[in-house]
Amino acid sequence: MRILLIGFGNVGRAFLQLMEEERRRFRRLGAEPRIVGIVDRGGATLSENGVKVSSLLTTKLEKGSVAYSEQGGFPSMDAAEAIGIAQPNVTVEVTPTSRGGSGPALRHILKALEHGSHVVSANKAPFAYDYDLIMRTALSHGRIVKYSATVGGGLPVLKTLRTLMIGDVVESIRGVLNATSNYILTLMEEGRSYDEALRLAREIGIAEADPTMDVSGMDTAYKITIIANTIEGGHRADEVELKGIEEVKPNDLLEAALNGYSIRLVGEFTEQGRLRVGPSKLKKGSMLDVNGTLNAVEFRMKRAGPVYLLGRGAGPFETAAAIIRDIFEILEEEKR
Amino acid sequence: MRIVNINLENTGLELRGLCEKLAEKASGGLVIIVEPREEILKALTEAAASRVSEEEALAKLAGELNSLAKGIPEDLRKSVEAEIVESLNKIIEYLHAEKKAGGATPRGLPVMLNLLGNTVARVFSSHLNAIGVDTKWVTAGQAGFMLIEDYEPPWSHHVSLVKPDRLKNVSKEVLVVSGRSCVDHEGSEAFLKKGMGSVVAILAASELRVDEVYVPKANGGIYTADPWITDKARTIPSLSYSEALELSRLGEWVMSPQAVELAEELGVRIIVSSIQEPFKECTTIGFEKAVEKQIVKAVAMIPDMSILTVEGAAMAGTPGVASAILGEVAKRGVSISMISQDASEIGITLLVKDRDLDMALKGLREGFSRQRLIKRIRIQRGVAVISAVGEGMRGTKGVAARIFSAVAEAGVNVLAIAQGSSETSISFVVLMEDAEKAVKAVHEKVILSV
Repeated sequence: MRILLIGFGNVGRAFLQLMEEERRRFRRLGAEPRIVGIVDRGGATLSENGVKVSSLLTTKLEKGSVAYSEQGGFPSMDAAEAIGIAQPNVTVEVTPTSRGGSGPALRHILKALEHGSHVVSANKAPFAYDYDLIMRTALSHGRIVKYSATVGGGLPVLKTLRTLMIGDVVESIRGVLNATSNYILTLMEEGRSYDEALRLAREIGIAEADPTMDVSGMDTAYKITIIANTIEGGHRADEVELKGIEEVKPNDLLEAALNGYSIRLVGEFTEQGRLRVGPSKLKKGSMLDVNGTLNAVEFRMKRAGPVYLLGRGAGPFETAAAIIRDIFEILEEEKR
Repeated sequence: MRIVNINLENTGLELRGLCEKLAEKASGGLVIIVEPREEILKALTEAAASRVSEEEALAKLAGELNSLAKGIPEDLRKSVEAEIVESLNKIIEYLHAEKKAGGATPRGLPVMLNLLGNTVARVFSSHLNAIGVDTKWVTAGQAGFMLIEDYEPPWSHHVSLVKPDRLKNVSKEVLVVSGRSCVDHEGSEAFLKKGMGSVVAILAASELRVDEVYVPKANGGIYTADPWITDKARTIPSLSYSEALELSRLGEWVMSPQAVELAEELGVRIIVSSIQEPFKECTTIGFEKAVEKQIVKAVAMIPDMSILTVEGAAMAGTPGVASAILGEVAKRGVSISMISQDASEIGITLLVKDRDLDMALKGLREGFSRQRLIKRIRIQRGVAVISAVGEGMRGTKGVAARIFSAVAEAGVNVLAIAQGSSETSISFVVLMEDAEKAVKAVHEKVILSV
């Protein structure tokens, strides 16, 4: 199996590490995975026999791109060109999620599908803005697109959703889907200001240096849009009614607590098919009232009633594990 | 310019006298790489993982830091104590924040460990400032070092000097480097593993074109055997890199094996000195000009080990069995100290630490649950590995015979034997209760009798 990796950040590197660890499991399925290329902003490294990844990080640190690898690098080669040359069976898209639109990842995904490659993506933006286009393209080329890493990472939100949808109908979905904002709100419950909680979250590495995507609710908006698209398609992130947590005050949390409520950033797909993200009051001790970096999702099903999923939010390795699971699923679906 | 690697594990906690001696040679420039003791790092790590109480861990940290500050004159001491309190308060805040996140976070723990390491470095530099030596302190990350992780087995981590100019700019005077406080490729804080501080010292020496790194030890130099086991142990004047490498693997902790290997590669000598005279050579590790008369130079012991013997007739002639067995053990994070396989190939013996035995067994049982290759796993707890080290053994006949005769004469039964292809050491396994007897026998009949 020829794999092309687009993106060499934290998730990309975690993916390469897990691929090594899972090699035996792939073999049991009769697959011999080979990373035939890696693309980053500065170019690509391609190798028919499989890229040796051990020295790539040093190359990237010293020279700015994997393209300067001694194994065969192509500075300034873009992802589309690399797809054309490497002819992968599976393209793994892990470039950073863009704001306000699909960004270059959409082009990578469409190009891969057009070249007959299956696609596994951890990049949320294309599935939050151009879901229908991607799925149409995949269908017309007879290829598979998987994106379970985009929501929940290690928490199998989309897989659970697909399972529940067999023989049942989704009425609504609500979820605490962003670990950083949930963590900040948890700290603020102790009377800390938003700024102080954010500082602490940054210092222990829970919040990114630029936490805008998380605290503005945009990350949750992307995720709830992807959930909605998985159910019925036709949604875009710019239709989400959006409010972040920046304006939540410690007093708001205190007041809510006195009345038996918590405030959490909740993403919602309503019965009417509307998408909303914003700070919401949740009954203390209810299933969605989770603390720290936990995520929680409530699926309200027509027949099964409420179903809950709860677990830790995504880090690079959890996301990489979801990508690997997607690749396994592609292998199994191909066999059918 | 001189480079000194101060590992508090080697020197102990009384810094005043050591700093006075270091200050005597400060005028030519001094870079001091300081590493905290494992015990307090462990206390903090355990508290972050909620395995010990915060109070217990903080009491240990406060005790250690205050001991290190002893001897700083009154006028400076108050500000040092205030810094210690500030660091401890910050650690309390982080521990609390980690708990709120549901446990130790991958980035939160390095931040706390770095803070602790930095406080140790600050206290160290305060001692030198109090003596009148203008001293600055920086983290290894600020000095230009970076943690690099491998993405292929065996997933090793190493440290690299990626911004050498920083070190050149700051090393003209006296600089204390918090040796394990580093950054990763994203600029996030990273805490270097045990022994990596000495790698920082070797890299710094190479970059600054300094020929040697001084490593002061409380008992001065490396000994022919553990002085706690035999009072006849004496200092070894010189060791080759490969001999030092063997000894460091055996727990004779002067520098990490990685640091010794790197020192050889970069041609940096390691001078093991004493805390009383940190610039006087006790044992020099370097390229040896000629093989000395001494064939075996040291005997060392690793206590509290277990033997794990994996047997099965089907193992004979099946390619990849050894690799699969080792792989299953390694997957559980268990390090194997010694491997021995008999020629019939129906058994393979591994030596692991007592505390890792259960984990290794679990790995083997789960890994081979569906295969019939392994028929039986036998274990023996409470054994020790004894190693005789000396480059002169290479190609010298009769050394093994002398070692085992000495052990036999002492009435000690040998349970397993292994010799590396480099022939720089011979290792054997005995019961814990016989270990000291075996060390004494080899020391007296093989090392001292030359």
